[in-house]
Amino acid sequence: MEALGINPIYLIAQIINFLLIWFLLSRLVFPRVLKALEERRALIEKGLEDAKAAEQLRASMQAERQRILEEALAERQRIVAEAVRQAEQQRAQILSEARAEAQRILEVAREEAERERERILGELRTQIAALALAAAHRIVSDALDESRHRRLIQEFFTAVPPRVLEELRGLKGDRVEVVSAIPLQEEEKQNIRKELSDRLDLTGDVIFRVDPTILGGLIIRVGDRVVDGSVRARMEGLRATLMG
Amino acid sequence: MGKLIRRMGPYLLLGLIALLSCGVGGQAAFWLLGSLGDLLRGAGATFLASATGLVGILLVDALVIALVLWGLRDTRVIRYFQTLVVMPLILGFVLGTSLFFGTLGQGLPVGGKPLKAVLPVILVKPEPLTGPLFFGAPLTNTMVAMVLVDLVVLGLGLLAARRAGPLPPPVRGLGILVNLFEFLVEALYENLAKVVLGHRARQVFPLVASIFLMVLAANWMGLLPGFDSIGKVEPAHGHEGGYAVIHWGPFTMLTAEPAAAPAEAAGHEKAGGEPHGTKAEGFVLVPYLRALSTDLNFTIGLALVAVFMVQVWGVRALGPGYFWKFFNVKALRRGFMGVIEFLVSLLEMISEVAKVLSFSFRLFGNIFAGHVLLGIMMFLLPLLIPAVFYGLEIFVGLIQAFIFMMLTMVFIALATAGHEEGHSEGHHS
Repeated sequence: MEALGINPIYLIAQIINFLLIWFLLSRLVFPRVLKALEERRALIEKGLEDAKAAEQLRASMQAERQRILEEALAERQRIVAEAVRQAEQQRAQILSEARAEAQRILEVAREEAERERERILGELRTQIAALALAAAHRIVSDALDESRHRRLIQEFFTAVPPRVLEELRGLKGDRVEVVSAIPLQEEEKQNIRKELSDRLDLTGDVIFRVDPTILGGLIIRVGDRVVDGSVRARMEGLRATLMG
Repeated sequence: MGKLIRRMGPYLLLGLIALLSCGVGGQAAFWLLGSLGDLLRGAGATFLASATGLVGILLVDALVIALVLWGLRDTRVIRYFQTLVVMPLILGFVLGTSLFFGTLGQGLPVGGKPLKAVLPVILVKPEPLTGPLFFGAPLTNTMVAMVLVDLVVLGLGLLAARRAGPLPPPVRGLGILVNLFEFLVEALYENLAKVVLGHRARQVFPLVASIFLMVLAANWMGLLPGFDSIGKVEPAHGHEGGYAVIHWGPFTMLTAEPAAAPAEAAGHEKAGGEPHGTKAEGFVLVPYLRALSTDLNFTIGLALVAVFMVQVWGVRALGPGYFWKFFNVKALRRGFMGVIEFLVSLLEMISEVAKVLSFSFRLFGNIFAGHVLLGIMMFLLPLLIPAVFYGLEIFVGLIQAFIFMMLTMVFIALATAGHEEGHSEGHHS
């Protein structure tokens, strides 16, 4: 044993030394280190879990984002389509309104033109009538010679419509006036007296008056009744027709 | 190339610092112990050879690690480059230092004699450094190593405990050591103790982890340069042979030359201050430090504690019934086979004693043989070869620590479960 160096004192010293080291390590070192390792593992596991959760969250966020994006896209398309539709509508409306407006303006303008034409036509007619009357006047006054005057006076009672002469019937003939363009002959006067008394109650005298302005023919006044068979009246009728 | 240097620089610097610190540390140890007034002598060549060997293997390791790290991120071109340039660089460095401090160094005329690693004196018994100190026992070089191992283990453990936290410490400075320690503890606890010991892992773990750390530190620290090579030079009184000494500055070194020419040697070395100036006297080296695992007291003590704790856990798990394993008197009732079983149970006791022996001598034998091997290799051929054996010894040191721890765990696991199994087996047979 001694040759191998085994010695109880060294042996005990070594044992005590190891026990001391063991005690110190198991008291001061291993619990702390093992605890630290445990904590570290827990930390890493927690970190991994957190990372997983974060990854899931990220994925869901991504999906959400995608969904929102798609929705927004669809909404945008919808809005654009709507806007296009509305614009189309508005355009059509504005167009139709514009058309109507143009139509209306055209209408007004046309009416205006029509009116203007009417007016101008009217004026023209008046002037033409005036000219025609003037011409007619001239022609008539030139054309009415003695014989024509006599025929007009003779034809008075036949030419005047019977209805007009019928109105005179029954009237009080206390004041009867007969106007002529030329002085009447006695025969003509007799004739007229006779014609009149045929038709009305001729009480008073018949007054004969000469008025060249009536151009020709006769005007008979009974009271406030007038039977106008003058050329002038006919001219007036022509005039009214021309002005018509 | 600049990138390469930048990347490789730290490793080269580390190697250089390791080399320098080995040398400087050796010198410092000389001067420090020299102030104690003892006879301070060292076998310089052996020290240098061992330093070269260790530094060499560390550099190769660093190279391998660097290659792996590089290979992980760089292109093939860079990998070729480093194979062609960096590998020869490092091997050349190792070779050069080996040559200079080893083979070449032998030719250096230091003090008129060749400087060469000496064949170590092979002693199983730890050498005493002082006179009787503790209860008549002198301080031995393994006891000094024990104190260093304690300091390293406790220092590392307390450092790791102080830095322990949910976040791992930064990987720089002492943080590297802390990370290493945490890695070790985690690997042992999670991958081994939990598997082998199950729910008892938490309680048993400090014991087995302490064993692992102590044995690992004891084995590896024995490989540091200075162990086995720095010490005091003593006259080879009781020993065979002995060597002549040379003086080089403050150092005294053994030479590989046997003390054959006494008169001549004595005439040259009056400065040695030896009383027998005229007599032919060889000198031997008594190293200040020797690997703790090469002390049987350490291995037996550790084995005793381990086996004792196996019994403690057995009793704790099974109660007093645990001891039925050793005195299986119950089996006697089953006639002849029962008697056989009883005798087998007595053998169990012997096997427990055998566990102590196998534990202690396995560790001692492996490490002691390793140191003898290293010493002889450095003596025979201090050229690259020691580096290879250093690598081997680093591996052996780790394996032995692992085996010691693993067996302790397995024995505890068996002891806590063994009784039930034996019982049920008995019923079946």
